[in-house]
Amino acid sequence: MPALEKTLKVRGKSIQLYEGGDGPPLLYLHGAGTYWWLPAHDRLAARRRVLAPVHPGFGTSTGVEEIDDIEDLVFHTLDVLDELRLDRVDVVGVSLGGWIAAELALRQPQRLSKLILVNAAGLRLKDVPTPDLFLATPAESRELLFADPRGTIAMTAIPDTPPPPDKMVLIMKGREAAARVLWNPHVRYRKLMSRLDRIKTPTLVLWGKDDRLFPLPYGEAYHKAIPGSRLVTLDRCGHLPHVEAPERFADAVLDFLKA
Amino acid sequence: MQFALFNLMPYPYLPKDFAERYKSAWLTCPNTLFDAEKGHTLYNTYIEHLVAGERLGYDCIGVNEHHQNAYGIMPSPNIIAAMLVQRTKTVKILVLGNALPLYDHPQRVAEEFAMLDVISGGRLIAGLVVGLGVEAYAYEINPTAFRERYREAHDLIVRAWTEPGPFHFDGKHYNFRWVNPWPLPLQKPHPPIWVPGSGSVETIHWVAEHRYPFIAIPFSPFETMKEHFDLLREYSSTKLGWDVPPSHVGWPALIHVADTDAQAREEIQEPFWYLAKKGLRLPREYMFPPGHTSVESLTRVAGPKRKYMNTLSTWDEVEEGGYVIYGSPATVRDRMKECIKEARCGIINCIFQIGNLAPEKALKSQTLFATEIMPALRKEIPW
Repeated sequence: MPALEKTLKVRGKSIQLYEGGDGPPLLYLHGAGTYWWLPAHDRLAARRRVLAPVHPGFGTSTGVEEIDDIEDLVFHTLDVLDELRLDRVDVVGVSLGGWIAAELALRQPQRLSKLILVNAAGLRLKDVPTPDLFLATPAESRELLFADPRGTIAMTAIPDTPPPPDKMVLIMKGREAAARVLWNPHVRYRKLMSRLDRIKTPTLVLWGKDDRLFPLPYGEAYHKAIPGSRLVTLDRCGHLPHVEAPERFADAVLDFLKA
Repeated sequence: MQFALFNLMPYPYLPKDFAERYKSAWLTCPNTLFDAEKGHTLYNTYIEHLVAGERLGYDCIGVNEHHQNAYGIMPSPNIIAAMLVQRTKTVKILVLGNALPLYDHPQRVAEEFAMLDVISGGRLIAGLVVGLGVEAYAYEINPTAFRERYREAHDLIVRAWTEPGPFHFDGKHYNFRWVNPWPLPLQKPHPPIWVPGSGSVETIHWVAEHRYPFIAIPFSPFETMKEHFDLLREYSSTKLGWDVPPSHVGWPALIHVADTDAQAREEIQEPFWYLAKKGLRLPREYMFPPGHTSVESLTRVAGPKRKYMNTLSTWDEVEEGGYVIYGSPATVRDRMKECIKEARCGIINCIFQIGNLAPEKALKSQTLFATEIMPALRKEIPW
């Protein structure tokens, strides 16, 4: 099911939006490295109307100069919901998008029906260090992000050879947009953990078990801290379940939403 | 012409198999490789060499700032400068520079530079530098904020020196309700400000707009550096209606002078490769964190002819790119004359302590340069 690509005007920003499928709306919040329509979205779109806005600075979305921290992305996402006239919606967030989703649930719980956090950023566990993805070479990135770093999926997602110039510019701009909110404090907000018990939204924590960027203890920590949440882990899957295990990822999301 | 004797204070004791064992001399290079006993001698030797610059007739003696690396052991140039101030009487002290974005309290830069200027009797040249990409990791400063922080800190410092305090500074990155540094600099309105830059368009434009001298960064081909100077001159004349004088253009030159061409070549090859392959061992991911350099500049930097020194593999490439000027006094004099005229630069940052060159050879080289070459260049260069 091909996605429609639209442009939204959100408080002066021009925001790229992928939309596909029918059914109840599902807001998909992307991570720092994959901000386009993927096969996983097709599978979600078979049952739901998937809305995947691209955060400012990524893709062709503008307005990155107004984004300095996670708070800015949270308010921006609320603006996107307003623009889409969605009062209340299911939200799935991956990595950076998961962090945004968790912060949304803390700030405006009435806007969320269900919450799904997928290998989400945002927490800090003192005894489980997180490596620095910005420092990583392509080969090192594949090691951190994929259960099978030498498999076709990993090699296609992060090739050793630099992409053509126009794609390169897109990637560099995306990295810049990501660094604005992820650099310091590095991929986390120290108070998030102590606030998670305020989340009353039904929550699924979905985690690729072989994530070496945010190892499984991070998923377990989210699960433990959010009352009544469910934890589902995916074997043979790293930081990007929507890329490495798109079918199992989508099915786990849909099962939880159906329940 | 102004000649600055510059010392990067390299750490010359990295193991022979360093390049095979470690991926970088910066950030992640284990500091257990640092030998403090050897460091003690090194610092004092390097300081002696800089102090000798006054007696040898250099206009300035220069130091700079880099963090967490084996390339140059000078995280605090202001400490070295304070020693140089005490050991000299007339030579200018060039601190090139303080890396403004790394500081949460740029007032400290205004204060320390003012102290150095007052104590030295107005001999400070205040370098204000953006800092390398790798330093965004070393000091955990968001690289996407480097430019904004640099400009804001610069404005704060210049205002702190020139506007009667106390006043309130209200910025995006810096907020101070009380700006009122004691002391103020002796030079009025403030010490000269020089700005080093790697050739990013954003730095070049900003420097031109402020009419500050622009000092290139070493380790690129001579042609690339000239292109940066041309960019500066072109932007200044077309956009600002200002012709950049040679006094505002600085060339950081790696130089080695010995008695003969053959001897100079023999002496400099190994230290050159030490610097290129060990000191400058710096992966791309360390060098270019996102946002530190604009996408436009990065795509320019990546051109095929712009070979950074650490990517060279043959001595022919070194010669062809003009990465180091070496030879007998006569050879170096002729080559420098040619280069200075081509680059139309009026500032030379002379770097003699290259990699693991034996300090006594560096001292001899800086002495020969001062006695045999500098006077001729002063006489023959028309600016």
